[in-house]
Amino acid sequence: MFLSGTILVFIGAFLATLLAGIGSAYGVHIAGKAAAGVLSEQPELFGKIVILQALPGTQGIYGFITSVLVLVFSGILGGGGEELTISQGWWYFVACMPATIGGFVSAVYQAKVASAAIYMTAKQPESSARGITLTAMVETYAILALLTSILLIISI
Amino acid sequence: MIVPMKKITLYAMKRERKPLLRQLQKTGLMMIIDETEGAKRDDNLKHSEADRARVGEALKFAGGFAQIKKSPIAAEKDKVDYDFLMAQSTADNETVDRLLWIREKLQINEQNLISINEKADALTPWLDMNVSFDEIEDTKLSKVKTGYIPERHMSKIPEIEQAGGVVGVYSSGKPGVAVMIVAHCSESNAVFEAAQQLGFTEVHLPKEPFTAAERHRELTLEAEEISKETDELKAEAETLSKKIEELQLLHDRESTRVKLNEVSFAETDNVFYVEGWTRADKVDELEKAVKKVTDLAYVESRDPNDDEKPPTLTENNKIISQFEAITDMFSRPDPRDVVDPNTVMGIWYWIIFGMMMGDAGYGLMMIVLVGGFKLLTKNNGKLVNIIFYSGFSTVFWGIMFGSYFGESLFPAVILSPLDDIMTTLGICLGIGVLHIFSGIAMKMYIDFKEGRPWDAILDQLTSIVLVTGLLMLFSEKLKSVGKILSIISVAVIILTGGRTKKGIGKFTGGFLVLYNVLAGLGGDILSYARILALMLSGGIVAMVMNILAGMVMPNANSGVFGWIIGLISGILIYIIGHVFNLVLNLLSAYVHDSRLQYLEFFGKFYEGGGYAFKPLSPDTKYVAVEEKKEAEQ
Repeated sequence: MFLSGTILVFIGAFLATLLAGIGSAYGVHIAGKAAAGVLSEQPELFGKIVILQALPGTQGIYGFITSVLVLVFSGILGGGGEELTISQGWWYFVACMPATIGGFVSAVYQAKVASAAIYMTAKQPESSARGITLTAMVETYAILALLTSILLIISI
Repeated sequence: MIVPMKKITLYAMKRERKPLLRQLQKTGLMMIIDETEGAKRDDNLKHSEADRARVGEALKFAGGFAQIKKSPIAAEKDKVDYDFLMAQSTADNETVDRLLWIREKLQINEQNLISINEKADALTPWLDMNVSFDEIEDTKLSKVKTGYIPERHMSKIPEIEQAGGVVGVYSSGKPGVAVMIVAHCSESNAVFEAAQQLGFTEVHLPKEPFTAAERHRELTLEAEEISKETDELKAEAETLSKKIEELQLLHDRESTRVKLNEVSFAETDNVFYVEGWTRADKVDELEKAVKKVTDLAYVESRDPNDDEKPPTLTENNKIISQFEAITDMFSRPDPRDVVDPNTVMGIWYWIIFGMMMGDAGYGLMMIVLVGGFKLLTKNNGKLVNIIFYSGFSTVFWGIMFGSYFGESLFPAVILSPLDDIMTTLGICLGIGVLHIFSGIAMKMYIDFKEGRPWDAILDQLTSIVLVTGLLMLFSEKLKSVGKILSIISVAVIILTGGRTKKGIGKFTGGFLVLYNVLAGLGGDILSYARILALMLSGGIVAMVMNILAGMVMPNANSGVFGWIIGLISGILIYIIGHVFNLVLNLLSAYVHDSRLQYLEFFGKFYEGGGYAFKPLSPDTKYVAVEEKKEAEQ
């Protein structure tokens, strides 16, 4: 049988790490370019700016957490290994989607705020904490997406 | 606690300005402002800035030579007396002069060497020519030219000879092969034309009584001499660089002097005055310090006017004062504020940080690693201390949730988050409710203090009661009480919410306020779900690291070789994985804990807007100025 429940869980887990990871990689890349530009002139700001660059990177971790959780809770990782039904597979697949899509999209948008905050920090180093707060606002929705995924996974 | 400030105006005789300002800088009691009308700065400011720049250059230059043994354990800064520091002088310091002279000389030598080498290179193709340069001249009957012919045309040189020229060929160099062409006057035009067709470019050799070889030898000697001198100068610079501490002291002295000369003051024919701020409890000390220098001075102190904003200095106990860094990054308290938010904020920051980390093992790592870092580098930065202190609350919450490096070594005291995520979410939101309530309570306190008791009751207290009542609805036992509380508070909000509005707003305003309270507080409380998300993400990544390390660990079937490889790679994965996870978690906890304080907590009562109290004091980087307690007389 080509489409089994287990395969669906695999696809869900695979997409969660992959898409959220792509979003984060893209996000860290945008913020990193802005950071490198600023650091070429103000290398002393490294400590403040590296935090801003790292912020869009968390979505990738959220995606990874979702993957691990779905593999553990579906019994594939460290479980009995019994075959899942197709409908169970779809449930787990759908449960992965909030963290996957939410992480993918929010990482890109967060990176844009992070770049802006990096430029702001370059002009006013003392306002870096405000930049971090602005950037973390976007992350709220990635966190909510992760929570939803976790809640869906454990309620199956 | 926000330290109250007094506005100070200090009047004294003009001739005593310098000693007085020095005394102010030494004691570090007064922040001098430059808003005084007609204020000016010391004439020597430019000089001291130039001196500082000179020492800075010398220091940078010497630093390139100094062989400093880098020790992982940072040494304590040398302690010096303020008067000793100020007694140093750059103007007659030979080391600085000598170092800067050496630096300049080295630059000149380097350039000379380059130009000598260029000259020598240009001579190389002519080395075989045994004629001294000044002998190469046109005679009555012949013309002579020196120059280069491109190497590819070498085979065509007979063409020139056919035209009647005599060609001397020497070695080849970069521009081509060096040649000397001699022709009889009558044939010279034809000869040189033929040469030009071969791409001949003329060079005028210097008319000097040397052969190329002699000149080249001379240049080589010159270059050797310069290199020798350069080596000597570098050796001397290295010797001088041993005095780098002297230079550092000088640099600190000059920076301190710049600070002193930057002070803006105003003066009349005989009197000068400066304006500034001083801690209200240190005014006596300031007067005493001034008296020590001169009796002819007058210190006027008064409370700030309504239109004046004094600088902010917060004073809290040793632990809470570290958390001031978090507030200061948002905005310093305005000294006219009723409360200093730091105490309440600091405690919450500490608690929530620990919850977000939520692992006893990681807490232990924070204490040991950061504590060790503090010891080794003598770093006492506030952010470092915050992480260190939060390590303890992390250990506490780790024990509560039974998480030790991602394993449950001991049973959880409260519950294990992964076993019952909903209850853990409830705990996180509950912490959020308490956090928000304490923020609203602060606002109530401010309202009372500032004479708005009705605002405190009708706006703040009702929203606390409303949220409490709504939460009670979830519990079977408290349902009836909750209903009553909710209905009363909703009624009060609808009836009084529009009390400051006019006309129809009086009626609709209440509904608007109710909507704002419900939506605003609801959103705020949900925001604390991030505590759970961070707690879980840290725990799950830690778990994955344990699984990964466990997979490569040796088992009963591994041979001796497999045992060693497995053990080493397992331990490596374990250590690197957990340190990586710890760092990521620290970053997230720092960012999201700050956000909860700034938006959810400060949003309820705090605006800030103050600026830092920076008294005139020594500006040192390499030495510490010792506060020498002088015996009371």
